[in-house]
Amino acid sequence: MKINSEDPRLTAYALGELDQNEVEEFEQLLANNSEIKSEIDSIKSAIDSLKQEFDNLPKEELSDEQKQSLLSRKNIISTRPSTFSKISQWTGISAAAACFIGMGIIGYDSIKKETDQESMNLTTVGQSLEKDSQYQSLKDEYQLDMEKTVEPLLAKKEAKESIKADKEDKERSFTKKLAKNKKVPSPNAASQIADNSIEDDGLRLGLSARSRSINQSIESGDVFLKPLSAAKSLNKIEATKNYEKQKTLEENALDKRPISEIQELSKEEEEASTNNEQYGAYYDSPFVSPLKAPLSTFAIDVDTASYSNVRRYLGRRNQLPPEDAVRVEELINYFDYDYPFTGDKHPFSVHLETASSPWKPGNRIVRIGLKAKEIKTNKRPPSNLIFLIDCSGSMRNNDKLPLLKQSCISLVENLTEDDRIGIVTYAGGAGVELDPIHGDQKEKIIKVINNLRSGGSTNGEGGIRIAYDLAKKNFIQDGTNRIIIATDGDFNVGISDRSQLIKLVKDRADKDNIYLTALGFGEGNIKDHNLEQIANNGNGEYYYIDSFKEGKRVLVDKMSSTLVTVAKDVKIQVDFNPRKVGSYRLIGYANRRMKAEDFRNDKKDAGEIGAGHTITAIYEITPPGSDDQNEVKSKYKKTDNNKAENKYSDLIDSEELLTVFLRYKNPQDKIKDNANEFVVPLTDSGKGWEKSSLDFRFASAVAGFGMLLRNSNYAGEVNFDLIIELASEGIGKDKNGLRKEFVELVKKAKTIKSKSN
Amino acid sequence: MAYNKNPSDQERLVERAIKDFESALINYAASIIRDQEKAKDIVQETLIKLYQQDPEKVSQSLKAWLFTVCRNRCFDVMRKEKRMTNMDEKTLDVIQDSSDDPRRAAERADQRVQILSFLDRLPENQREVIRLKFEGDLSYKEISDVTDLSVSNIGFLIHAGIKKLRGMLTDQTI
Repeated sequence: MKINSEDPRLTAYALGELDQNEVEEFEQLLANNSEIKSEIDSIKSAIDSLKQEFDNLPKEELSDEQKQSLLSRKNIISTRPSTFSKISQWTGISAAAACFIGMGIIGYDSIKKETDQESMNLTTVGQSLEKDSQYQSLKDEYQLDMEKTVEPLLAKKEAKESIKADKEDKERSFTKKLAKNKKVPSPNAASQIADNSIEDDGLRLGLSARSRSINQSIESGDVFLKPLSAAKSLNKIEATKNYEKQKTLEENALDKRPISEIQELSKEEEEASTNNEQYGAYYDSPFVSPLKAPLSTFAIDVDTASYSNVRRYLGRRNQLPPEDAVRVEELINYFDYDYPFTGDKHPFSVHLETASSPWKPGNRIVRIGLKAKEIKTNKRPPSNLIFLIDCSGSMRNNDKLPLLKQSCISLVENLTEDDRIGIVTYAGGAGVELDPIHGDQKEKIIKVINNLRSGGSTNGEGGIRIAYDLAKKNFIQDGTNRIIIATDGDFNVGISDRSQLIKLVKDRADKDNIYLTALGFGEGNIKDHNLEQIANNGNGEYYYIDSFKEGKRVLVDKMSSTLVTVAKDVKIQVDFNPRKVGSYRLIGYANRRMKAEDFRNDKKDAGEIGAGHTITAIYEITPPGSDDQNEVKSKYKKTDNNKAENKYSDLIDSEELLTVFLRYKNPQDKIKDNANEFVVPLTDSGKGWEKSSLDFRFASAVAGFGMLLRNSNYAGEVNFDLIIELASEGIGKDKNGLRKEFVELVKKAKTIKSKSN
Repeated sequence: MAYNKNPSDQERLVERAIKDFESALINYAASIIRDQEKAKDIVQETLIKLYQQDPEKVSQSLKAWLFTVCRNRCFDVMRKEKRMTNMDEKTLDVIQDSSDDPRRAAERADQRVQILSFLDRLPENQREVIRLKFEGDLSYKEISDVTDLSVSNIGFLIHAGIKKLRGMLTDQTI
């Protein structure tokens, strides 16, 4: 038989589509036919480029709504009670859950204990400490004394919320929901309590602050308590409630409404599902009277991930971000502020400014600005960097691995021979891709980076340990020693238990002085909360890289601040003078608040500050004598106690508005070492915001924007137009154009919002 | 309907389908129906149908099953639309225009600079089998199941298609 180039077997052969007999026959035929052989080679190369080009196509994905609808379908089928025995099983689950919820009503303390025990079992000591301190600080701030008289009201408030939540179509984060669910009373109790309605506004406000704080105290435990059976059955209860809804959905296969409740049910199995960006729940601080809690304490935060993530939502996806994706302090700290570094004794200096609130007449805004000492890129100490790169299949999109490579290469171009860099991959890769070599061997490094491929089987074993071991082996004394983990959210780095992972990261930071920075990439899978937490515990920062520009900003422009830590465990405590301050509220830093007494507990971890970093915190304060929204009165307290002279009787005379205390450790200090402390007082000049600095106005605008995006209860009269005005005035020199971009972003948000209304 | 099977099997099946074939299915549907958004709807419906299947029966031939159902659904939709188009052709054009945001279109344009950019010039049947072969990674046999064409016919179509693509690429470079 003769063959020519028209024979389809040529292609079939190249594709391996011929069976064994055909192959043998075919190979005999072409044994001496070099023409056909070369034809086959051309076919093979065409096939290869076709495959590759198809592979390189941007990955198409279903929209979030479509996925939600799919997920809801999954629940219909997986939880559908198709037989009688299943129904009775359901009743059992509901009953069990109701019992558990019942405990929720009995007392907040018992729940607290409950979560404590669970968290002791399931989370690291560090975690439960963090939770404890969050809880404690909230308790301090609000003076949460859960007297028996308050409890029924509290339950009532929550009963109302739970009923409302049923109807709510608003997207809420899983954790927030879970925290809420935990406290949802059983339907009977709920309606019973709801019957005695309360309408007192003041009370309700106070209560909402309470229920929130309780939720929060539970929240940090819950995030890690996925397998918790109680939580599961609670979800199931929610499922019963939604059952009717689901049924309707099922009948209408094309119905693509986002049913957030249903989606949340399935997040329990998020390990395996596909579109699951995950955000922790954050609660805004309320206004607090300094008479009750004069000290406000928090750890600094230099992360900026939240801003680039918000930018992605608004810019690329044309949607408002989920509320809990917005961490206001990260929005504010994304921008550079022109604070000079004046200190010589301390590695950073502090700048305070106060002016009237642009959005609430009578209120004042206080800005605390920190500026760390600059280290020129060419003077930075040598770096020992280990990249730990996620090469799982999901990293293949252009906005993930390719962007990561591009960003890494731009970093490598700035390394010197004193630096060392190594690359370890996890999921899909084979571990050590590049044994640490000196930074001047750029060609070799770039070649390794370019050869990174996503996909393949998961082979995460030990990835993170290998990375730390390499970093330790190549440790540079007085240098920067850092793991840089880059991922779209998967954490199968060899330790599946997240609390253990966090413990490891924390241990290595504390004992070996190897820090960790997290880079988040891509859409659809980002585990925002986890990344933030792991970076936080690793004494590092969390950045979300949404573009090459951002990658360059973080890894090249901000190289010194990203890589070189000048102070660690930086804590801020603000002491407010009750004579001058009616109440105060810290904007943002929701998950950075600390107990007042932990300020001088030098074993307590806090935030790190990199060279040249600026950090800004903003307080809003109400004038003295203004109504205290959280006012609670005990019947044993004299009524005239509120009179000014009594109220202030035990206060010293001072014209100061507040005093800022700062505490930090040097980067090389150990846990047991004592921290340094310094103090900066502030007296209010009484200036209006029209006279405030450009930076002040811009930072206030960003804070206001954050509050709006979070739908904060405290947003007051903030609106998009005001923010655009403030930000435009505050643009200043704007060397990198980021502030202009911000103004555009606000405009975009305004358009999206007005369309959705 | 067979959903009294262990539900987790179904979930795993659908998750696998999404993980491995989501993008390829969308592109495949889009190549038939010429509308990215409608393609996504169709893929969504396909996956919904998958939930109703007996995992044991489907999992062995998951790929072929997915592409077959997806393909049939495309033709269903097109049949329905043909009636609509006759009524109001212009509206439909507008919908198609707005469905693809320019950024993505540009991204795609960048990507297809080489051999793929000629794919659209092939006859429809060659285009389809090439897509199934190289993007969907289906075997001749599976493609035959999906398209109802014989294996030898598919061999011929792919062979001819690749040959033409090579020809166009050479013309281009010369």
